[in-house]
Amino acid sequence: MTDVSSSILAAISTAVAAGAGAVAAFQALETRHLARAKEVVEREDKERPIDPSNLPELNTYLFDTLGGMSVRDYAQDSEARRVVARTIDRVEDFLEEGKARSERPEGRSHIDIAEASIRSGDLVGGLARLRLAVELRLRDLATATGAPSERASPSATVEMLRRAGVLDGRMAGELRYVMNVANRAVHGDPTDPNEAMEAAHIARRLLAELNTQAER
Amino acid sequence: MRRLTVADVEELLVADDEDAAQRLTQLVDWHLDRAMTLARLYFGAAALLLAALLAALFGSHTHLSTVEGILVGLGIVASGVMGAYGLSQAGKVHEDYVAALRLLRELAPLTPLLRLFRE
Repeated sequence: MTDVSSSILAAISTAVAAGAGAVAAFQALETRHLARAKEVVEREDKERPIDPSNLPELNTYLFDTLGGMSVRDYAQDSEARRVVARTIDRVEDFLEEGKARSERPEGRSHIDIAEASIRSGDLVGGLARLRLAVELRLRDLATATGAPSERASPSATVEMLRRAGVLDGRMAGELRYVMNVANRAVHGDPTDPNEAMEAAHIARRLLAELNTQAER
Repeated sequence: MRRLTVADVEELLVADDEDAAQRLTQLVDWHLDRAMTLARLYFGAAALLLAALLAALFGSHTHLSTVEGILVGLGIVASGVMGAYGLSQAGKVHEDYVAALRLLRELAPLTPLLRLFRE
């Protein structure tokens, strides 16, 4: 082997070693970042448990704080699994509690809170809550109807329920209107407070109709 | 290789309205493919460098200085270690997959809420 080829071989080896070192450093940083995410989730669970009724805070928690934890940590750490299970239980309880006022007279339904938020000027928060109330009800109806998927989009669920005869044409149209108003607000489009209030009234009437229909 | 996070599973639930579990399988397959390809690349580089080093050491016209020899050795060790690390990561993908499936099932009731935040 000549001096030149030996130098080339050494240069290539150095480049490979440097590349491997860089990848290893990146992996180490990522592992550290994920370990911190797990620590934050466990610490917040002890010190400041999430309040599911605060939707913006819940969004940040679910996608950034809890979302930042690696699935491997979830798999390997029983405490992390307990934290995730507790969080999911809390959020599920919140969703269930707000579903129907008639079932829990002492509590306020999602619709009640949505209307109150709209009245107080929080259109985005109110309409987000309104959309949640409608989507949860649609999901229940779809499950009760034996729908092929309980995770279909709201518009697909409305169409499926209309075809199944659970919703008539008017109800389906009004539900689409409500979802449309709520979606626009959630996406940051300017929303008229009167339109938001009208959507909330329509949603309340529709959900009451659906409850009456289900009781028959 | 970027690890699967809880947010990845949540995004799958939001994005896939029909079969999030199938999408998860695809995602894990990609992770596994990537991990295996990287491990093969590192082992391949280590083998090539080792062959070149042996040729340089036992060839009739060898002029490999000590520094060059150390650098080549460093390259072989570094790529070999990275290959072994990649292989061990690929082995853990199965564990991640099972945990992600469990997480997917646990998070499914929250889909309307997750969708509300993401759509």
